[in-house]
Amino acid sequence: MSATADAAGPGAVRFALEGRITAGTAAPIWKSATDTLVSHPNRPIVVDASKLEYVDDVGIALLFDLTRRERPPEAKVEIRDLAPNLATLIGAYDPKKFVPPAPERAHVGIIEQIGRATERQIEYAQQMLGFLGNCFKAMGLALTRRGVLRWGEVLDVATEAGANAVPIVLLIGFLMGVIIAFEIGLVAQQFGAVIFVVNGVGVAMLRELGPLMTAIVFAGRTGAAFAAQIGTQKVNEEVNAIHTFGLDPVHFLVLPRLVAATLVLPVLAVFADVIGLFGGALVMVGFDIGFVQFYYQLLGAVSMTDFLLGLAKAATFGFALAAIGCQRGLATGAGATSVGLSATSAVVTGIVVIVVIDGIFTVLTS
Amino acid sequence: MTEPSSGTTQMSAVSVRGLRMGYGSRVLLDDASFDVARGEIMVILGGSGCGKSSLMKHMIGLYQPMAGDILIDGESIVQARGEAKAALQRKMGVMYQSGALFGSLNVLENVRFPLDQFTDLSLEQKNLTARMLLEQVEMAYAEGLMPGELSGGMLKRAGIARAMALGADILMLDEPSAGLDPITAANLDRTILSLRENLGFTFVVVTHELQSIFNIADRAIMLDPVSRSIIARGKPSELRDHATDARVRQFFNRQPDAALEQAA
Repeated sequence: MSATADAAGPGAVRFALEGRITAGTAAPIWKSATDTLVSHPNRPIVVDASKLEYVDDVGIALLFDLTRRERPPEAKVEIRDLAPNLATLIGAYDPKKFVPPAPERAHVGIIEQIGRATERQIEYAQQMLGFLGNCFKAMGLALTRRGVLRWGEVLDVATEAGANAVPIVLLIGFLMGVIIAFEIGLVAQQFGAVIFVVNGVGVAMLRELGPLMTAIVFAGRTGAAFAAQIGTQKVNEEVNAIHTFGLDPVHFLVLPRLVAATLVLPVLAVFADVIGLFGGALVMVGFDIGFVQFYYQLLGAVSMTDFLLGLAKAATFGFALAAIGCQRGLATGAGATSVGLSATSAVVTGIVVIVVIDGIFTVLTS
Repeated sequence: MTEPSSGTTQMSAVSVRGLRMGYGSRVLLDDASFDVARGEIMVILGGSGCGKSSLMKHMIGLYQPMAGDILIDGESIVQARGEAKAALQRKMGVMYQSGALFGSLNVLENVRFPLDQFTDLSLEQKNLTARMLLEQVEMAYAEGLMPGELSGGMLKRAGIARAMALGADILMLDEPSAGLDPITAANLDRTILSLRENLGFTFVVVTHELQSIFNIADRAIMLDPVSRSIIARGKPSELRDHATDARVRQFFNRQPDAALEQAA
């Protein structure tokens, strides 16, 4: 495996290719050959291939590259003593097809990028509104007509999205209660207002953190799963199959998930509320507030409205997250990459949307 | 690959010795032995579910057999571990049934991928090599497309180009012409023959496309899911015309089961 350049008679430059040229060994030989051609632009080049033992695809590309270059008529490249099958193979390639370099991606300015992003978001919002309209119609039909909703599937989804999520929801809820109580308690202690930490923990857990943290866990765990499941079905043409059976994918794939998520998220939020309050109570023991005192202070601090408001939020979050996950799944393009993008998009969009919904609830109910 | 002059003794490119393979307790193939000579086009055939693709995956070291050995250029891929196994695997280019292109890369980038990973070539040199490979499988026009935009046949052809990129001299093709239109399938057959003729590739082709088998195969082995064994081996035309086993004749003459009962 070597390449040598030396003078070969008057005017010509001889370049010998020897041994084996493979993907692993071609780089220095190719560079040396190219350098020889570049350094002798006006002299004929004779490539001696008589001692060439072995070439693979990269070696063939190297030989072709030497012959295809634009050079003056008196400075052509000639490959001598090349095996006939290789000569035939290289001769079969048309140099014209390989001339233009790969087109560089056109630079897109910041204004154009903003415009394109805005256009995409508007398009997405339109798609989402249309999809939500179909979802509401499907839910209305499910409530008014028997047999539309497949309760077996709802149960399966509820088990996966709800029952199997209980441990993680309990963990997150407990930690939230502990953290909130501890952080507020340290500040309140300076003002002798430790007892009012119970009020803060109660209102925060029931109205905000219980439903919100549960929804965030749900978005990461179940919203992404919905998008990935339906996205994979889309890639595998299962969604097309549903269409060709005359079925509506919204009824078939989306409705069970919507119903299950809307029912199951409030239940999970209750778990988060209870365990969060327990975590808060546990911390308050350290601030000399016993469980009984915590309980009676809590009864005076929160009302049934706070609890129900939290449940209403949780149900809305469940509906929104399921709708976003399913819509992202149905909008999946082709290939495995699209499925991943759909799942990511479902989580990101879901979290943004539930925070927005939470804000709307807060404004409307304050 | 091309060996302009070669006077060495020919060793089998692939040698399967007493192979027993399956999943869990289910045995698909037992005590199978065969060789694939260098420069040969060997076809593995058989009905759906008989273990053709599984056999190929054992041959490329993806699955561990229950018993037996598989030699690539005389070295056991079953016993090899780590870098030694990876080096043996790089001697083989594999085209999977679906093409298995990477979804985040376009066609050119997919074919260039092995060159990016294992060579020191410049981008221009790698692009030229990749484009020439795509030209060989008549896919040069689609170099900028993403895998999601390709048809089944285009995916397979791009998969073949990628399999060839590192200069592996043994190519394993899993159902290369299944689902292709007759012209594309015939072109693919011609490409396989041309690669063997001009570059000396060894091919192991898993297929049950009869026309393709007759077009390209030097030799074929036929697997049977009931006896879990190789029930026929030889030239396809000879198997079609002279096989003593009724199942082999039924396969090559494309006869339904009723014909088998009548023949029996």
